[in-house]
Amino acid sequence: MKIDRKAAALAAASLTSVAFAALAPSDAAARLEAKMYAITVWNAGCAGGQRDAWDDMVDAWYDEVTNAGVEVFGWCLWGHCGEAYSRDGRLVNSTIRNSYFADAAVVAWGGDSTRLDEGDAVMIGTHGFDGAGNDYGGTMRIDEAGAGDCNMMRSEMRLGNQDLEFLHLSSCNSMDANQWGAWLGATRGVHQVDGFHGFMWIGGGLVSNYSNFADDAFDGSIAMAWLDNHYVPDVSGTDDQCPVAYSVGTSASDAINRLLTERYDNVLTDVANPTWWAATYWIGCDPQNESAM
Amino acid sequence: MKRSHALLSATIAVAMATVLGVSAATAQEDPTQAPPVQKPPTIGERITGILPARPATAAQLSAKLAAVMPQWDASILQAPVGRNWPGDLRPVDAAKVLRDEALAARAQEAPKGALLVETATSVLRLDPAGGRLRYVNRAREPKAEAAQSGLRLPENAESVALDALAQLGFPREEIGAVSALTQSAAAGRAGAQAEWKGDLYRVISVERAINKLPVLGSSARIAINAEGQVQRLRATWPAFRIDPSDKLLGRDAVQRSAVEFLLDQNVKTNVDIKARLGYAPVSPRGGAMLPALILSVSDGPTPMLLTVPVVSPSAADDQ
Repeated sequence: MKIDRKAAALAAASLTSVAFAALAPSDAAARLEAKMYAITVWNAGCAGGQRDAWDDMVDAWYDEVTNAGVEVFGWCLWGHCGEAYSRDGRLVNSTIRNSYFADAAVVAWGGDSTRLDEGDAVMIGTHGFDGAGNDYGGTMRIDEAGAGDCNMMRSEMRLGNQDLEFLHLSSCNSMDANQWGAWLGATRGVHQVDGFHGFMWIGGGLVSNYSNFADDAFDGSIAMAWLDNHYVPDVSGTDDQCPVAYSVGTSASDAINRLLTERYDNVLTDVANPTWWAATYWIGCDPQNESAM
Repeated sequence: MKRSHALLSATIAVAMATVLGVSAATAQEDPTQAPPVQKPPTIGERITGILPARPATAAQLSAKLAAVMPQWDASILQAPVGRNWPGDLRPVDAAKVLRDEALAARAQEAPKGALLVETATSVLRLDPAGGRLRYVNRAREPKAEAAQSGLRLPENAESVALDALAQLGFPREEIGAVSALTQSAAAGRAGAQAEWKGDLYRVISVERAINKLPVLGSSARIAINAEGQVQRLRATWPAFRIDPSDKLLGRDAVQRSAVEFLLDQNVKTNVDIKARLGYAPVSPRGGAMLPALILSVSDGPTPMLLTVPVVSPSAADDQ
């Protein structure tokens, strides 16, 4: 249901006492689904430096994108009311492993259809790297038995052939400029993939960027919200944090239009067979571990 | 909750769970979870994990920090209370500043105190407590075809943006570094480099400075389209307030806190640390600030931005 926020504002200003507990909840069954995966400790077979704030950052996004707030008599007082996504899965550390992010159409042991590809909007927080052949890789927690290993790889993904529309990667080198042409091969219905060119930074002081991103992506385009909230100039004292938003489409115009207009509450059609990619970024943004954009 | 405790919970104190032997591994809301399958790392993997650099010791980290930590004194506590500019702003006035007539008309109808106003194409949200203003005008987005044809971005974007901030009531004295960015886009086909590149917006980025020190989490971004209009404005700039009765900590105490945290993050001997002073919000949602040491810690594979308070809480912090 489209929420009349103007009416919500009027209600918020005029109502002084409301029996919120008596309100009927919005229909969660009709909502799009959000999921999150975050690793903070690597102590189950795969190596990686501990990063305590990572789940706080991803949680901030997850809590805001699913923040239904309060709706009174069809008026949304705060939160995203009927447009909020449902909480479809929060996995922190635990069993996070390679097969959750790999597609069986690419590798026989892939199992993303009930994991990564089962949500509509998903955020993953983990160490990342720019692998051989312009292949993004992310570090897993568990070294999986069988063919999987300690690294999920973009080349093992087929995103959106199950359900996924929006993938957000809180991960270093997840959208390096040299990877843009290659990312297209991993898309089979997904609309957008957001990540970082070069190093991405971890810290309690960056948590609010994640909630602000989720909040803004209901009002303006997801791509602009990603860029505005995750750009941190001189984060190291000299280097920047450089977000990149990426979309796919059936033409250049289609892909660019998705960057410009697609929101969490304005979801365009799936792109089963994309032929073009588009990316938006800050000219001159200069991160660690990559050249300036 | 004491203010310092709140900040620590967002930065440092999280590590205590590990120190106390509590596993940080948690699983929630995952209906399809299967039992973990684990196997010990191979010898090769163990070597790979050890050889690049050894974990740093407390003494090594102390020495690195001592070399980069700046000096501070009581002057860091001497900062005036800032204005709550979003609290003084009416949506109708904001809409007029942003030259959004339809939104202004809507806001005109809103009762006093309304903080959210929306039209079919615009959204304005004010959050006085968090010091936030959000404005988006979707009718001012460029069309994809127009962008592909090439947009000519205005030369006066910075003055348009800074004039808007001034008229919105931004405290001029708190404006620090201002930079003019260009938001660009590229497009291409599978496996190929970009076949098209073009500009979308000029974006003015404004950072905040108090006592010439940065304020973590405070900034404003104003996107100006090819027509010279404000397409979106996102400002997080809460009223500045610190408690001057907070007790300043010495270098040793701050250094110990930082070392403790860095050890928990498994930083290695080759870690690169840069340090500067600044202010950080007690809560991610805004409110009071604390003077802090801001550490940029470059330690592969993912660098960290840490804030370590340089004050201990006063009695007033419980209020």
